[in-house]
Amino acid sequence: MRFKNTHLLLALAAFFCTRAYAGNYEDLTKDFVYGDAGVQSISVMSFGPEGILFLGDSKAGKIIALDMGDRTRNDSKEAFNMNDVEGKLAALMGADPKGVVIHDMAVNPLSQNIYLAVSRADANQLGYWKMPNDLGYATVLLRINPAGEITQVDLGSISHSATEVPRVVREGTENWRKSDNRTEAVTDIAYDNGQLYVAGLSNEEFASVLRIIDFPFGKQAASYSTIEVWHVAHGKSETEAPIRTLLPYELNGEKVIIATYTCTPFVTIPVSQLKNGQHVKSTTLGEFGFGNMPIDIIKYRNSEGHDGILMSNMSKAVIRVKPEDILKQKTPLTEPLKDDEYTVGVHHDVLSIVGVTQIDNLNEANVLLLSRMPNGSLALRSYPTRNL
Amino acid sequence: MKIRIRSLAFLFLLSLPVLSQSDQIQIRLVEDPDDPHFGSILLTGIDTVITAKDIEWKAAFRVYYRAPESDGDLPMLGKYQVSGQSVFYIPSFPLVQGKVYHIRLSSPLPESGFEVSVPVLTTPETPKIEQIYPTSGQWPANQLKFYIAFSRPMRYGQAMEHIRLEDENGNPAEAPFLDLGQELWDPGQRRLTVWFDPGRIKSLLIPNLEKGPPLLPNRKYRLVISKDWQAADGRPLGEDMTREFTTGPKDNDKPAPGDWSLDPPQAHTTAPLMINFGYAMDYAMLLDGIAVYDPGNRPAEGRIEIGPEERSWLFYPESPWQPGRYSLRFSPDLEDLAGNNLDRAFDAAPSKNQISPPAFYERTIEVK
Repeated sequence: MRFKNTHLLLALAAFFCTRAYAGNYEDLTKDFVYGDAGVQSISVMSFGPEGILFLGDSKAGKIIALDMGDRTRNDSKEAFNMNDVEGKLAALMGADPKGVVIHDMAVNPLSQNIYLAVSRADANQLGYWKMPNDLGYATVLLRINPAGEITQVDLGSISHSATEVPRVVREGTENWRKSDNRTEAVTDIAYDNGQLYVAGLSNEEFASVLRIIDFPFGKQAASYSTIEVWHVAHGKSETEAPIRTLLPYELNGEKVIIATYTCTPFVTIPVSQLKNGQHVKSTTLGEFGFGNMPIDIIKYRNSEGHDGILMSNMSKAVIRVKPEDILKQKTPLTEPLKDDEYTVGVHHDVLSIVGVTQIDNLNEANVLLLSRMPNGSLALRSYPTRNL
Repeated sequence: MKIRIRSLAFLFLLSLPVLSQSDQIQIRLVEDPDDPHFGSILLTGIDTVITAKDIEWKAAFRVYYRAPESDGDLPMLGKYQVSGQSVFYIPSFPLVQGKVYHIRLSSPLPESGFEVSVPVLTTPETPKIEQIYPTSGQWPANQLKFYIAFSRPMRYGQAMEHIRLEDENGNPAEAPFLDLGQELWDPGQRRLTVWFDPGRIKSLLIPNLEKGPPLLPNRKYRLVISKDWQAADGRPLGEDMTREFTTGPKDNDKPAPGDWSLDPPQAHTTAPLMINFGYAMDYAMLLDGIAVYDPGNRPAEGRIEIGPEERSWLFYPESPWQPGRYSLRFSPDLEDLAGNNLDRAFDAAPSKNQISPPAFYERTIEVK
């Protein structure tokens, strides 16, 4: 040992800090291998425990778990703000500010490091019905630390584990938004208690599916349910449109998946019904307005201990839903929208927070928003949960 | 500002004699495509006393997309590789042809600025079509798609106007291909997938009933690829390429892994394992749709070769075969030329049965 004393102390401290989490971490990553993670597209991403980031890769038809080596706990309640995110990413990636597109954002709940999935694509092509994943596949993963330093994650040399998403929709067919259906093979992913919930399109006749994949990835194939939704604004049951964003949630002691779709049904699916090979009818509890694509959904707890759900949208301001209001909606919606109706079902608030695409929990006191500002620039900004 | 930089440089010159060699520092772009560092920016003439140190190169040797105006401007991401008196900046994202990049050096290098312009490459090589898959001269009448492999990355958005299908009298077929807004290229932009219009292949769908299938059985056809199709750098193919094929009957049978002949290799050799399908399979699916697992149930490493006319698949193991039972796992997405995959025939009536088929199909071989 050639450490000086202080170094030795630091090393010991680091060792014991790591040990504090070690048991779970080692179990979760024992099958991980180091090398090229084989990422073809970061379509969606979401953090699990112990700094493990899950990527939904529509192009490869895989879920890839990355050990971000990012397990230093940060209990800060500070806000994080960054102006002109596009300008900064453009400088880093050697492009014009309109030459970079952010596909998804995830905050590591342990460290509060922010991760962005990015591509060098033509942002001028984005539209209300043209999402980043419709323009191209993101293959760049950037990390922003609480000090605002941006670095690139080397996906070619990283500890990882991957599993195939069974029966993903094949490439070569087009959806109504003139994008290849394959770009929606995985539309959202969420980790909850040892399981990944993966929404997207399959190659089945009923294309919209919700898969449950055990993590750590085993030899067991994913469980797989086709999902039907009563679409109030369209006035019909649909099986082809994918869930856009989902959230595992406990309502009155029952584990459900809260999910939303384009144009904008708000539904629940009891996890107990998600049995492999079953066709499941979701329960539509709200219609939040047609002409809109939901982008992200998160749950938060404010400083008074009240829980809530936030949804970001392509064409609407951020929506807040309170769990007690979901429970108040005792009967599912089964009728088409009437001529003079716009939103029906679960009570929800459309907040004074506009221009938000990506949303995630930053820390106990703040949620983080990727937000188009009134001056046209794109900013990362914090919103205090005490105001929610 | 300028004065400050000069005075700082002067201080360094006084304190660190090694920097008296600063006039030898040179910066250039590695332009030779055969150089393993092609596309990186090379800084040379640094004293090895410096390169031997553990220096934060991303601070000392910064490359900017736009000339920096303030300290807050961010340099481009990249990796740094030190070798003798040289440091390579390897950009995380390829530099753009015709663009000028701005370089700033600072401590422990002398404060200085450089510009590197990236020339517009004019490679003498014209793009070529290397292969059209399937390579066989006979395609089923319900052929689903084909692949065109090019020698160089091609320009996006030109495919449909440069591919033509003619019947034996030279009459062009009417809109036989699926025209998606998005062309289906591999990541290197060198292999294009072209689909025949699936709506016209699948029985009872409206396009099929109205226009008929794109190909008829027992005919001769000619694919013509136009000489005007451009590579990514704008250089056209230069010569028309034609590919003639005849059609056989429709193929509505699922490929059955149980019917394929397997040729187990001998233990302790690295002889290839061969799967003979007995008919042609889809080329691209064969590249990653079959995995070999060793007797310990670990994926075996090796090299894949696809046999003539895509009728066979060979696996050359990296390490010799061990005695025992190897397992071959087939993705359900493996398909034949007509798009029939292991789960179902392309033209099969929709199944009401919602039971999930297996995640993969399996055969085993005994290596002795």
